[in-house]
Amino acid sequence: MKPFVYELQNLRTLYGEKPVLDIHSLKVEEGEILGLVGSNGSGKSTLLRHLAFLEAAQSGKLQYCGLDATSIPLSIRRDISILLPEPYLLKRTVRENLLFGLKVRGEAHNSDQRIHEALELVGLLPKKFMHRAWHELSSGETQRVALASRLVLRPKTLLLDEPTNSLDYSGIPQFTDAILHANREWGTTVIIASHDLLWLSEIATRKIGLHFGRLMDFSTTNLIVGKWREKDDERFFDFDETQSMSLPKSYRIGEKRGVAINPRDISISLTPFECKEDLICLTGIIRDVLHLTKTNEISLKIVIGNHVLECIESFEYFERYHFYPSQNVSVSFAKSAIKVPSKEA
Amino acid sequence: MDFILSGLKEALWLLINLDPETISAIDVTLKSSTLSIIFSIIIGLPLGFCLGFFNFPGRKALKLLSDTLLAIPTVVVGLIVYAFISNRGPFGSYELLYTLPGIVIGQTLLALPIIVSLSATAVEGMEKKLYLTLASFGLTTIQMIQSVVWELRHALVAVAVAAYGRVVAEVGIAMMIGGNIKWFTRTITTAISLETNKGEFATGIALGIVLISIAFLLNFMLFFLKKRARIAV
Repeated sequence: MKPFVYELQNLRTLYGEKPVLDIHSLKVEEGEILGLVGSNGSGKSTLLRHLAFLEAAQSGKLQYCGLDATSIPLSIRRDISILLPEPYLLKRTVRENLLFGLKVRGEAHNSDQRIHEALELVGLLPKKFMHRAWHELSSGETQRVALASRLVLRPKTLLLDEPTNSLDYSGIPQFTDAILHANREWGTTVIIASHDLLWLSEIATRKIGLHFGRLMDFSTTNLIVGKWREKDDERFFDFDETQSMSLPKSYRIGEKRGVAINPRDISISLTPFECKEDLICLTGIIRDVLHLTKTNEISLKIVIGNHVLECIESFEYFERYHFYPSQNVSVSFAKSAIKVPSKEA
Repeated sequence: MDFILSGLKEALWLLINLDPETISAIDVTLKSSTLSIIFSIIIGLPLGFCLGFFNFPGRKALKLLSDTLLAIPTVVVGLIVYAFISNRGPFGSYELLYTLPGIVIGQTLLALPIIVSLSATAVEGMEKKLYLTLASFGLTTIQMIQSVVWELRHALVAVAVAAYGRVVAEVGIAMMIGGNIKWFTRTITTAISLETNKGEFATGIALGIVLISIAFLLNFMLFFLKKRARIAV
């Protein structure tokens, strides 16, 4: 087993009285590419800032390479590089932006080769971009230069917060290659927070979910948030006027926290399911069909009333039934698959 | 109307012919203003940076004080400096009253709150993104200060230019401390005041034109610097 780069225990951060991060336990192995998923305000950026030691948590333990957060020397902290969302370039030329981190570390000698390499990695021609000023770049180019100025440092740990935000589809593969290059060639541990779940599925070796600052014991995209109505001994969630799912009253469902369903726990079929008591059976329309190349699975987004559920099926299953967008399908999952995200991993 | 027009004509004549009296007033003004700005930057910029960057007890009170001193009347500064450097004052033995160094001291004190307060505001208003970006490179405190100053260079130069504008146009300190002595401590503003009282509109207007030109030049620089600072954001 590889050593742990990060070890977190009972890490807790409050903004005012509101907890924004509450992580019971998290370990990150050296050399892994960890994907952080979660909606806006789930605590992804806060966690990354803690991991970069830009902000300290109010309580709990955060260790980097076995060293406690409070006792990490600057030389070790410099092994970590973070790319913030909407990256900010220094008011200098592209070359000087890349040189900055090297200068700070006293590694500016013979830097041109490293600068060239970093720019090429992110898909920018060094000759064309080296001497451009910060305000002569598009937002996509700014994002690439910002990543290049981190890659030029060959960091041991690279933290990326929404790195594909300003990139168009043509820019993403180059970005992916640059990150993978750092991971494979330099052994860089990478932690990425992103809303781009498909891209994250491609690049990450492991994904974890954050929901209201807490880690979830499953990585899921099906977070169903909304009002539950009570009737007799059950709570009902209405997808639309005719379709709903129910759980016994004993489940403590927070309206804001919602419930989560693992996409792999959901079955779909062209014919209606035989709905038993412990099953939820719904009907919907396929909106998207995506091939997850890494796992050779198919992700189907199904619209049910006002909500969208993701369902992941094997490629063989998909081939057999030829699902396509706009198709009407039956959806089914066990009541036990509905998780109330209150426990952490 | 005639006296204004003939005054204007004569003023241009004085400027074109580099009238020694007019040039002397311009020379004294530029010397005193430039020296006082240099001193106030040397003292005020580090103070303003600390006030805007670091958190310490009493910071808000100091900021409030420097903000209040922004509006201090020049005659009050003149009065205070006069009290200290006149013969009866604690620094009377240095004989600074009615000298150029005396004016420089007064104008430095006038520019100081402007440099401190506005540079503190510029540093305080620094974007969180810039701070986090710099911090993410693992800088030492010295490296952080150097980098912040460099990144805010356009805004900080704009602060110095604004202070220069205030100093170059002030009349109270130059009059009270300098004493408006021809060839020695007569500045553009004190000369305008005196010449107008004497009915010498031509010299007054000529010096007025120079002062307005300096003000225009400063504002042009400010406009340019603010534009650069905006691009940078």
